[in-house]
Order: sequence, then C-alpha cells, then structure tokens
Amino acid sequence: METQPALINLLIKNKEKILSAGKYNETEFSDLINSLSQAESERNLILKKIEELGTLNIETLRKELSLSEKTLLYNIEYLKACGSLEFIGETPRFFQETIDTFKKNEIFPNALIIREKKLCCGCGLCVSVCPVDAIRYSKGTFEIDDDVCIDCGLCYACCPRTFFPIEMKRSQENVSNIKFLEQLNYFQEICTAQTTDENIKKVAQDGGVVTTLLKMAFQQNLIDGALAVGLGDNPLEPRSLLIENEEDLLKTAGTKYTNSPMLQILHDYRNYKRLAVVGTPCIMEALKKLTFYPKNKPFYNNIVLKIGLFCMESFDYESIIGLLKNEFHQSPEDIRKMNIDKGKLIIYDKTGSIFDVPIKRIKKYGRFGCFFCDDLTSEQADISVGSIGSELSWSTVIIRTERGAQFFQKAIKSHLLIKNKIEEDSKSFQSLSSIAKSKLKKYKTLHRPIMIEQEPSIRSTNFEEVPKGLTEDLVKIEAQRCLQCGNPQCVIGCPVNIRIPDFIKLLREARFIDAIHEIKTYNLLPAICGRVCPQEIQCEKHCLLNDLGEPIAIGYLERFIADWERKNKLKECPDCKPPNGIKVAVIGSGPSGLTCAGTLAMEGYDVTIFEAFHAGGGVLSYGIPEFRLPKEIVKEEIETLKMLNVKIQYNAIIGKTLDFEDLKEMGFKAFFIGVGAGLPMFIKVKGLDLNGVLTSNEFLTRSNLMKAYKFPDYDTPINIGKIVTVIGGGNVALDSSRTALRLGAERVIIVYRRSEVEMPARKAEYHHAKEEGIEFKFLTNPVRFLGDENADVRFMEVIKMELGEPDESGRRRPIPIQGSEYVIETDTIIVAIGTRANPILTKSIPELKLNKWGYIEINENGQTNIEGVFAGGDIVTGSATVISAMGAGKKAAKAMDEYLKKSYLQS
Amino acid sequence: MPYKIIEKRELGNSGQVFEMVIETPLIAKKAHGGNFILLRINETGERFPLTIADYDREKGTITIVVQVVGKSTKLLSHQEVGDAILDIVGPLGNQIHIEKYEHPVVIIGGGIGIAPCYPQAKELKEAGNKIIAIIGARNKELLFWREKMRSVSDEFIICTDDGSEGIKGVVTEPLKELIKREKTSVVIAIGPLIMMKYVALTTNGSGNLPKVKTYVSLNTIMIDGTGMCGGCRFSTVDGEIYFACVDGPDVDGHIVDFDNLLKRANRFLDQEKESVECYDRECRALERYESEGT
Repeated sequence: METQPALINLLIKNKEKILSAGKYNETEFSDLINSLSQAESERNLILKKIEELGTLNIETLRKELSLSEKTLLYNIEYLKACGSLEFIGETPRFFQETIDTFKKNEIFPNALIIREKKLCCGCGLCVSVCPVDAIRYSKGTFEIDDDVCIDCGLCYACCPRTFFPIEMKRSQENVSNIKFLEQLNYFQEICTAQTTDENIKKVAQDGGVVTTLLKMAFQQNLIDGALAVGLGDNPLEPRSLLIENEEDLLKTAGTKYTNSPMLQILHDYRNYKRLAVVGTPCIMEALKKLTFYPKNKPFYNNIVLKIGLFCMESFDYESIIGLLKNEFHQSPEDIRKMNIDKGKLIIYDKTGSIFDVPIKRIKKYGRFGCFFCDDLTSEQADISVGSIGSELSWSTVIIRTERGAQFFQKAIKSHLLIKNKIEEDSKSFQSLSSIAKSKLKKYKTLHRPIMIEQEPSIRSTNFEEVPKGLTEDLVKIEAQRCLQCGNPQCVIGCPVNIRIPDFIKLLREARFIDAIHEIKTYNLLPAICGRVCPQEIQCEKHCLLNDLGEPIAIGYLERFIADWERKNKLKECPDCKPPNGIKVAVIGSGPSGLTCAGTLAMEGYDVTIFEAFHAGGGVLSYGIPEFRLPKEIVKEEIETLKMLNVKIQYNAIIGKTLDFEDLKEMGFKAFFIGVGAGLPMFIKVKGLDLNGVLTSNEFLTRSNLMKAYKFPDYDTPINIGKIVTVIGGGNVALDSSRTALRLGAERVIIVYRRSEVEMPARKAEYHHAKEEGIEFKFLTNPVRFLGDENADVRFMEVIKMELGEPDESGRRRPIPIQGSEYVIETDTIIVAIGTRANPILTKSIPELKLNKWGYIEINENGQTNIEGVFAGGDIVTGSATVISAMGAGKKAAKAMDEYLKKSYLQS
Repeated sequence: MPYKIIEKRELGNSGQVFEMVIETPLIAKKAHGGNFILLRINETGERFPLTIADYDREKGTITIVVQVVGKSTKLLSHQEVGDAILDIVGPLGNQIHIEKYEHPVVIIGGGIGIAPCYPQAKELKEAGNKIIAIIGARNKELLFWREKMRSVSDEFIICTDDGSEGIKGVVTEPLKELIKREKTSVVIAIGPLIMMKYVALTTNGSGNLPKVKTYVSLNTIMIDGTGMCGGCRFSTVDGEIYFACVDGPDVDGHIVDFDNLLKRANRFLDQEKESVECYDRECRALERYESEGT
C-alpha cells in the first residue's frame, strides 16, 4: 500500500481545526481529501511513467496512461512547480525557495512568496480556499495569521499566479466559427453593444452591457446570484458583493477601477446553484485555475457565467485616492463617475465638470501585480466587456464561449441590448487589437543575455574593450522581456531618471533613432553610462524581474543603442529651447559638469565649460581606462554637447588661469562647480618617496589621458617593472591593476586591508580582474616600502589583518594581527586608496562654505551659500559614481534654470 | 586655442638654450615670478613644466627659456616663430612672496635657472629691495640675460666653472662672501638640483656662516600641475611629503631632502633616452626625405 501523501496527512491531522473554522463541513472535508488523494495518485502515475520513459512526451503519456490532455497538462505543470521534473531537465518557472520547501516537506509553502515577489493580482482566491480561515485581505494584499495557518500550502497551489500551464490559457471549445488572435486569445465574435434600459444608462459605464446581461439573467431565471464589485462604506471604496436580484443590480454599476479581492467571498456562496461572476482578467484567470486545481473539487463548480472586464491595470483603493488627490486635486466624495477612453482617464465630478489625464500618467498608481499581466480583454471569461474600441455610451463585447454567446443572444432577443458589428479591418478593432498587443508580455526566458567578452588571456595584453556589446538580435529579444510596468522602479533607481521602459519599448519596435532620442532627453552620455554605471545597484536593482529571475539588462541596452548611433554616424540631438542669451559657466568637464551643461543648453542657456586639462571628460578621460571606456566615446559624447552650442575652454584652471571675479566680468550669471575630488590620498608609511611608488591618479593619468601605453609613439613614459602591487579595494585599484597587466607586468597583486566581501569595487570588474589573473591579498595592509641604493622600491612589507567590530561605514573594521608581517617583492607600488577635495578652486572663492573635509556644502537644490553658485559631484560628496555625479549635475541644472528664470527672465 | 610663438632667439652660444615669447593672453594677465606653465607641444606630446621667465600683460605674452635636455625640450626648440604650441596651462604654482625686506635679497640663477630669476628679481626690486644677483654656468657659452639681470640688480656677480667669464668657481663661493659680508634677508636659488642643494647647505647656519632663509625652486616631474597626480612630490628631511606644484615651486631650501630628489629625478632616465633616440631617428629620416625630395 502506498504511503499517505504529506498534504493529506497534514489535513487529516488538522481536521478538527478545519471543521471548527466553519468553511468545510464533515462531507465537504472528506470530498476535499478524496479529490486531493485522487490528484496525488494521478501525479504519481504520471511521474512514474515519465521516469520510465526518461522524457516528457504528452502524446505518449496520453496514450499509455489514457488520461485526458488537460489532466496531463496541469499535473505536469504541478510536478514542474514542485521541482519533481528537474531530472529530465525541466527547470521550474517559479522560485527556488518554493522548490526547496517542497523537497523538504513535500508540501508547498504558503502564498506569501507571491506577495513578496510583488506578483499578487489581488483576486482574493487564497482567502477563499484557506481551510482554516487564516488569510485576511486588506490594503491591497493579503495577510496570513501564522498562529492559525497549518502550512498546507493550498493557497499557494490555488493561486492563479503560481503554476498555470500556458496551454490551459489557450484552451478552446470545439466551435466551428472560433477565431484566434494572439493578443485577444480565442473568440467567436466581437461587436459593440448598448443597453436599452434608461436607468442603467444613467449609472453604468459605457454601454451598460454587464448590468444588462445580469438583469436579463435574473429576469429569465438563468442565475441565482452574481458576484461583483459594488461600493463599500467609503466613496469609491470597492466591496465584493453578491447580487441576488435585479433590484440590487444598480449597486454594482459604474465601478471605479479599484481592485477588489472579490473571490475572497466565493466560498460563502458555494450553495448557490448558478452563480455569475463579473471581474477583471485576473479574477477570470483565478476562476480558470479553479477548474483544474484542486481537481474534482466538491464545490466551486457552480459558476455558470464568467463576465470579464477589459483591464489595463487596476488600482488599490489607497492608490486611487492618491491618484485623485495628486492628479485631479479631488477627493473621492466629489466623484460621480470615472472612465477610461481614448488614452485618457476621465472623471466626472458631482457638479457635472469633466476632467481628464493621460493614462500614461496614472500608470504609476497601478498594482505591481498588474505589470506581470498580459491579458487586456479577460481572455478566460465567457464574454468580455470593455470600452476600448467602441463609441461613447457603447461597450465592446467579445463573445468567447458557447455559454457567453447564449447569454448575449438572449439579451439581444429580449431587446435589452442592441448591438453593432465590428469589422476586423475597422478602426475600433485595430485600436482594441493594438492596445491588447501592448499588454502582451514576451518574457520567454527569465535570463538576460550574456555579453561576449574578449578572452582573458588575450585581453590582458591589449587595451581594447573587454565586453563587446550585444548584437541587434539579442537586443530585440532582451527588450521583449521588459514588463513595461506602469510604475517603473528602474526609473526611480536611475539618478537621472531616464524613462527606461519607454526607450526599451522603442528598441522592441526597432525604432532605434527614437530610442536614442528618448534617452538623450534625459542623459546626454548614454555610451558612457551604458558602460560605467553600476546598473546592478541602480536601475537594474529595482527591476521587477529580479524577483522572478534576472533583471532586464538595462545597461547593455543603453550601451547598444548609443553604440548603434555612433556606428551609424548619426548624431541625435535632444530638442533645445531657443537661445536666451544668458551666460552660464560650468567649471569642470567631468560627468557632473557635462550633464549640467547639457541640461542647461537644452533650456536655451549660453553655456561655457572650463576645463583644466587639454581634454574633456574629467575622470572619464584621465581615470577610467581605455579598456573600460574608450576615449573616442568620451570625445563623441562631448561632441553632442557642442551640437547644443556648449562651448568648452580647455587649459583653463579656475582659481589660476581665471578666477571667479573674471568669470563674473565676462558676463556669466550662474556657476556650476563640478571639479571632482582630484587629490590623491596617501597612506602614512615609510618609503612613499621611493621611485616606483605612485598614486593611482598619476599612474592612470599617464596611461589614460597621456596614452603612455603607446610610448614611445606618445611621449609620456611609464615604467612599472615586472611585479606591480596595488593598494586598495575600489574600482580605481582594479583599473590600476588591470592597466598594469596590460602594460606588461608579469605579476600584479592587489593588497586590500578588508576582505573580499567589503570590497567597494563593482563585482563585474572584480570578476574580470580575477579572470585576467590579478592576485588578491585580502586582509593585508602595507607597513612600509623598502628601496635600494637608487631609491627604487624593492619590497613592500605588509601585515595580516582580521576583522573586528563594524566601524562607522558599517563594515567590519580591519585590525592588524601582531607579528604577522612579511614582505612582498615588487617593482612598482600604486596607491589607490581614494581621493579628496582639491582646494585650488575653493580657496580662490574664500566666502564659499566648505565642510571640514574641504567639500562644498550645498542645499537640496545643489546651491552653495553664494547666490547663483551651484555645485555637485565628487566636490560635494567625495568620490562616488559617474552617474551619481551626473544626477547631481542635472539636479543643479534644474535649480539653476529656476534661479536664472526668476532673476533674469521674468522681468 | 593655439598658443603662437611670437619671438624666438638662441641664448648664449651653446646652441642648446632658446628664449621664446608666446601669445598667452590669459596667463600673461595673471603671471608672477615663481609661477610656471605646463606645455604639451602636440597631440602625442607629454605635459612638462617650464617656469615663466617674463611676461608682458599688455601684449598678452609670456617668455620661456628652454634648454635642450630631452625629447620634449628638443621638440620645443625645433618650433619656430609662427608655430603654435598645442596646449599651455597656467600660471601654476605659488607666486613668490613679495615684501620689502630689511636687508638685501640674494638671487642666484644657475644655467637655465637664470631665466626664472629675472621676474623674481624684477618684482622684488620693484618692491624696494636691494637685489644682489649671482648668475653662474659651466662656461660663458651657457650664460645669458646678463644685461636683463643687471638691470634689476643693485649688485651683479657672474661666475663660471671654467673661469671663461667672471669669477672662476661655483655660485656658492661668492654667496659665502656675501652672507659673511653683510646681513642678508633672503636667498633665492634657482638652477640645477645639485646647485640648489649646495646653496641650501651654505645658508643653513652650519660652519661659520650665518643662517639665511633660502628659497629654492623645484622643477620636478609633473603631469597636471594642480596637485592631482602626486608625481612632483618631494620629501623633507623630516619625512613629510609636499607637492612641488601646489606647495611650490619655491620652497624652503632647508627642509628639502635633496638626495632623495636627485634620485627621483632619474625616475624615467631610460625612457627619456629612448624617447630622444626615437625622435632623433625621426628627425634624420625627415631630413633625408627632405634632401632627397628636393
């Protein structure tokens, strides 16, 4: 005899608790057990067969086990979801955590993971299926009472957002006139319809079709009740309710796009013989899932009509209140009706006024769960109704199933509804179809593409770029993965707030010129950012796909489109306002200065950048090596600025060549200081004055800006010997070490006082460095440098460290281990332990307020204590990232624009 | 912005020293004695410092004096009137401290170091100081600006190692006599490291000589000239680290660890040699091409 499955055991063990919760009576409980046992034995059978065959072949299984295809499909999906089919290479779609739990307990975990992964669609089905009534729904999602929960995992298994065989979503009835479109799924007919009932017209959305269908169903005694959403206690607050007669119907009419977990009350009405359900696509999906899980259930078989609504996304009650407040300055009490039409959300207030905002603007209020949904038209319903594609006061109706057709025909015959045909080539049909298409999600894979890189052994001998970029084909596939969220978190993660989903959508449509234009409106340096931004802690960190698999490779896409533009010799230039003749000085041409200059130029200002070096880009030119950021790219991006009429004056050190007063005399009205943090820090050890000891600044400037790697073709020399030791654990240390390797060092060692975990360098760069053979000595700190009679460095004496208590940076403080000193032979020592503020400029403006480290103090707008003088980037924050400096430049530019408008343009 | 060469002339008779007047309006406006500039002659050139030897604010020019020692100085010496230097940035470093001292100021220029002495002598003279100038070189062929220096000094001494002009001997010989002879407020020495080392040793109060505040001008290897690279750093006898570019170039001669600095100056000796050899090869090839071509 087979052993009892774990789930059945668990339920039986908790029988008393379940019965006292009141959801199941004795009979229903044993029905549930039976149905679950039956499903269990079916799955065992299938699993055994697959093991026997060693492969997954639906056709063979169907023949050999004489099971229906439907039964096979959902059981296989279930087996995949619990990780049981990994042995034949079937990787499950969902989460490893779930599989780990299942492997341990043979029971799914509860549905909290769906909430954590922001997948919850808010249908409320979990509340209904919980046998011990442990789940409550509130504020847009559900809570599970740990004390009551028996960990049966039924909520997880029933959730429409867990396993759901794609084939089941695409199942069809055998009807002769059935049609199929990817974006609309199967349907028999699409038409528009309108109620003839004047009372309904007054309150209902659009054509009042849903209310009228239900009215007819009650009149003709086709249903006993209808589950729908009506108004709750507060204005606009949704409430799931059961309508039992025609009179109650008007309560539901004109609901307001608020998400309602209506299925949470489904079990209350299991005794109703014939139930209609009206709901959004997610509700329809949940009902569909109920048809195959739990299998042969003794209840929930009473739903005779599923009326689906069109839905772009729904809003939590709290969000809709926020939406009304922020976008319309209205409170819910004042709203009579809301409608979405022609790309706009329209509200009708009680005084009869009408307001609208573009849907684009309200998308951010949508539920996260909605962003994973690709169903606009309630594809799992019997009949779907919505406003998209129809005239005012009409509704678009998609008749999908035989049952849907029957109900609709009856309403037409009894003259409750009138209908109009929609031709497939009509404008209405096209608009419905294209909006539905825009909601399709095409993430076939949860993995991001891998960029081809130069082989470590080859690249360590040249200065060419390591990653080679994505191909156009891979870019198009990757762009398809983007969920096009209404509330894109990536944009929030981006310091310059590029509208990432918008440019990805353009890539998806292969509208490359538009895509680069879109990016450049927000970021004039995409080729640079695509390469050196730490996307993993910015935009990509916030991508919703992180929760499912891997985030969209935003950086790769940005890099691709910028490179595409360059390769095609195009120069997309963002739109600029007409020149206003106001002169603005930007001091420093690093990332913050370039961004500030570009932003102001777009606003019409006459911008001049003053740069101390003979080349622009600041750290992009002197600091970041060629193999990470080719200097040609920096040049090209600066060219874009010149197209915006930004002037650059090289060899101009403000505080030396020109001073602040000179600039004022030259007519500059506002100033941005973005001079970076250029001074090197030294460690206090003996031997710093030996030859062969140099700062990373000197080393990298020689190699990058002065091209010493091309010596003697370029005159600037560099000599590093055979063994190079680099001190530090940041990106600069890695850049220095990899540059040394490329300059011909036989051995390059990085000495870092903390451990691998605390390294501030980007993980990808660390990985690259390791691949190239850079040696890492973690928890090691220099004690002194020893040289020979020519004052050439020969050895570095180091001491081993251990980690103590966390310090002010939150990282564990490294403490020397007494007596652990030893020496490393070395020909060159590069000190890469950070930089600090350069006082040349700040000293020349004595009234400028600095903090104790010499960095400039600014307010939240980037303004210093001097009127008209703004600052940003490393000279404010100390060493940080390229993009954060760009963000600061942009922010300051906006404040400067406001300041200048107020001071010079308004009069 | 091109930096055009307005005038060029050879100084002395060695064929190694040249004076150039260059159009640099912004720098000319701000330049002072003690300041230096960084030049990059062409796209492949290195950035190297030269001290400002004179300036004309009205004409918008500065004067530099260059002695051929390596590739870059050789390349610079090959530039002619009308040619332009690709990049010049400055004025860098601190200008000299100007005050009316109680006692005379002794200004010593050795070899090419004579040139940067001139604006310092001029500015100190204008401030009302008594200037005693000593200029020295290995031989008379290397001497220059005698009249210019004389014009800004109250007392003017020439010495050469080989005695071909003025006093035979090194500059420290007349210096010793001077500081013995009368109380001296400040000594300023600009020239080869080894000369500055011995001047500093002469004035540090050792032997039977009085201690005199001494400034030396450090012209070390540097890239940016703004304190960024740290290549110009020097250590003091107390082990402190200073940057010649932002803490100097004129620094207290008594704190400089000259022995270390002499060794640091050799940092790129091999590369400098290689660079010159490459350049000479190119020059010869060009000459051959031009002679065969015509």
